[in-house]
Amino acid sequence: MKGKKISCIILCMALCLALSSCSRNGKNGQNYDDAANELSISIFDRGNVPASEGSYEDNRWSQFIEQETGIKITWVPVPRARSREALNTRFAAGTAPDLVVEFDRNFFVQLYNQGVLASVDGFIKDYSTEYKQYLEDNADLKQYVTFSDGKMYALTNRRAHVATRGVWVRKDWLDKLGLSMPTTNEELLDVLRVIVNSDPDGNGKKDTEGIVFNSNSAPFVFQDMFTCRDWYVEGDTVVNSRLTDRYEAYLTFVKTLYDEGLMYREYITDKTCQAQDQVWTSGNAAITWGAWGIGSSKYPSLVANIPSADIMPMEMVSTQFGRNGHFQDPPAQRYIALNNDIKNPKAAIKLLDWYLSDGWFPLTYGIEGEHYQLNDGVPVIIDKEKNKNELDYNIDYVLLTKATSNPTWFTKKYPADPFNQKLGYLEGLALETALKHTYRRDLPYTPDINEIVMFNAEFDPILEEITETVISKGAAMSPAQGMEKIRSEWVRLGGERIEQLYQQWYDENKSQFISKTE
Amino acid sequence: MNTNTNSTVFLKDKKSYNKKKSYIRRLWGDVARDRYLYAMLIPVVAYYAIFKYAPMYGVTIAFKNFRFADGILGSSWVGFANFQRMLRSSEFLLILKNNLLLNLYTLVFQFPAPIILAILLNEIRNKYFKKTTQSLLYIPHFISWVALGSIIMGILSPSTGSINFLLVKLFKIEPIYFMTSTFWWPIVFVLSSIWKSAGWGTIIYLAAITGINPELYEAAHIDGAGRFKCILNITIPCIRGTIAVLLILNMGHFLELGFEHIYSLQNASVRSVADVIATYVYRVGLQGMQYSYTSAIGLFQSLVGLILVLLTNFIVKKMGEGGIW
Repeated sequence: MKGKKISCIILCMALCLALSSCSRNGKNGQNYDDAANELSISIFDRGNVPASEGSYEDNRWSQFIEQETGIKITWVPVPRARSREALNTRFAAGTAPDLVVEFDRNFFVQLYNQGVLASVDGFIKDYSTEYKQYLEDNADLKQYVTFSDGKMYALTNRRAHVATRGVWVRKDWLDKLGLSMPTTNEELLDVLRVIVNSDPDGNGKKDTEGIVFNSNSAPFVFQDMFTCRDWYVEGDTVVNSRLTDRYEAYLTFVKTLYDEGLMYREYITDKTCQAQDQVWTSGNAAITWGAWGIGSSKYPSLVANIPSADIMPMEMVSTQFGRNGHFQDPPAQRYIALNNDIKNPKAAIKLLDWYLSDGWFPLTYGIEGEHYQLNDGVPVIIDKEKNKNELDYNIDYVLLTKATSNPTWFTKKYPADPFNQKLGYLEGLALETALKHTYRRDLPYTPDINEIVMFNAEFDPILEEITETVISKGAAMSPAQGMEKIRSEWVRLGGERIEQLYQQWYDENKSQFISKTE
Repeated sequence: MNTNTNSTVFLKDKKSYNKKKSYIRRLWGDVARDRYLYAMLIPVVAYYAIFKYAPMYGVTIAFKNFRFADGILGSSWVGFANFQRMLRSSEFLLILKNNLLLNLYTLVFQFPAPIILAILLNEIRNKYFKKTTQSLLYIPHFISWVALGSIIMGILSPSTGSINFLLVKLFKIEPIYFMTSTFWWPIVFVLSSIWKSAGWGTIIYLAAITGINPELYEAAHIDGAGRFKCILNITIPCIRGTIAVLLILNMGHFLELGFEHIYSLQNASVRSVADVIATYVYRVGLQGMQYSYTSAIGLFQSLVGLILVLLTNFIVKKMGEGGIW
């Protein structure tokens, strides 16, 4: 073989991007009556359809929807944790489903910029009755689905409630040590100091954790305490709160927690929070911070380990800057957008109308007589175990819903035994507590300007790194030095230009920002 | 072989033909005569053309402003704008630096590991012990990085990890949080990668060692050479060629670092040493839909790989080894 030229195949290994072009088909005032009565819809694969119920493609509820609406639906599962990547790849390959469902508005803005979403104004006007009415009654939802050309590109509904984050405290320990529920950040520190140092479980070891986290948002959850997560409108100026003194106060607070051992120090490597959940359920932590409903959902396993354990949800504590609420979601729940390639948009609108009229109730509460019994207008659960198996996995099949949430329902919907009543009481109390103080959100959504998105992709990791350094690296960087570094990095990367863009965007759009219409 | 002899004769006889013409003539002669053999080659050529070369037209999006709706062909050309943006970005330089450093550590520490391990295995005299050890060494190769990542974090945990438990007991020091230290993280990265791949990597070297003529060792023993002298003067020189080829192949992947490996060990505290091209492309490209920009980065990465392969091949040949072409 010597002397023969062999062609180089190294380049082949380099990049193999097989992306095919998407086709567009015109849709100008068609009737779609002869279009096939078929739809494909993306569905989050959370891996929780029990084997006895079938699969994400075919189960009790997919069959139910098909029977009720007469539309043949192909459900396209996308892994929940990587849903955006999976859908992006499908769009790039031209195999995206007709209806795309996600919670993230920015994702749809990106798809809109990629030119693959169909505007829905015309379809709603021509084919919808229910949603058209719903949108008139809930005019504030329009701002979330209207993109920069002034047209609507998605459908959405109002969340039953906006509670997202919450805090749970071991009430039995507070009582035992004669402590009261903390109301300020200083009191919180004091309470934690006492608990951590006085061995409340009486096992003779100093192994009690102060705060553990149950969602991988540590330590950002404390930003809400100091109102420094977002951009806020002060006067008529948009201000990045992460450059303000409030952020420094936040750094100082978390650093104190870390240095004094008042919170779980290894949160950064416990990405799934499994270790921390275990610390909480085995009764070794004073507080779990994260999802609002976690205390009640983990309550059964906690009392199984520690029968004397009692828990209470905690209101957000106030700081020297006043009191903010726990983080809350914006009112728009799921976004459902139509692919530009959709063959039968009329069927899609009919399906979504059905959800708002008849579909949402059985999908939320199950079948009467099988899963619930109406009592005083409250659907009371007949058998919790049965519902867990047959009903609870279907949450993502509820594309649109009119469900509302009433804290008093929680006790009413559960069976009458004391344990379930306690659970219902805790859930109701948690919801009430999580909603007690409004989370400050001055801008309904983040601007969809490419330059800002790109800037954030570069600045956010840097901010995160500085934050972690200040919190966990002891004397390496003080909060004041950290703040200085954050401000100088902001300037170095061109943050002043971003401030201008933000202000400009705010000035242009502020007239369209509507708060909830009551 | 027959063909070669024929064409040599042919060349010698007709020296007046210019070289190019004679080459084409020779080729056609070959093809015409061995047409059935060449026909058997068609599926392989077709495979490379369809699945390897044709998709490369997608690389053009590095020079375009790619939008889903316009497709690869329809998107507008932007020239070298994506590359300019890449080189102007201060983030990219940091990421390139991290990438190069981690590659360098990997090359210096990980590349020799299987060679040393293979030589050590070769020196084991008890057959059963050797086979068992070998099989055990292959196991880490089959564990996914996602699983391994959480195992590593568990072992290295400052509160519950076994390493810190030992350190505290033996040296009476404060526990070290390895995973968030910018000093320790690269070390953990390289060590974990050696642990996972070294055993599997010995296969090729062990095969090369088996191929060494045993007479060489016998002769050395008669001359009074010990074990160590044998390794130094027989084993290593005899597997030099294999080492060279594997080095060249490794250089082709120089800028590539296993995404899963980095991603499962990474966290915010060590971003300044652990953010690399692969994770940047994932963050900006797949999550942020900047396909053109990240393709430009991918293309740059491949180009560097190609240059390194050519360069290493050249050096290896200068050192008297065969190289890969």
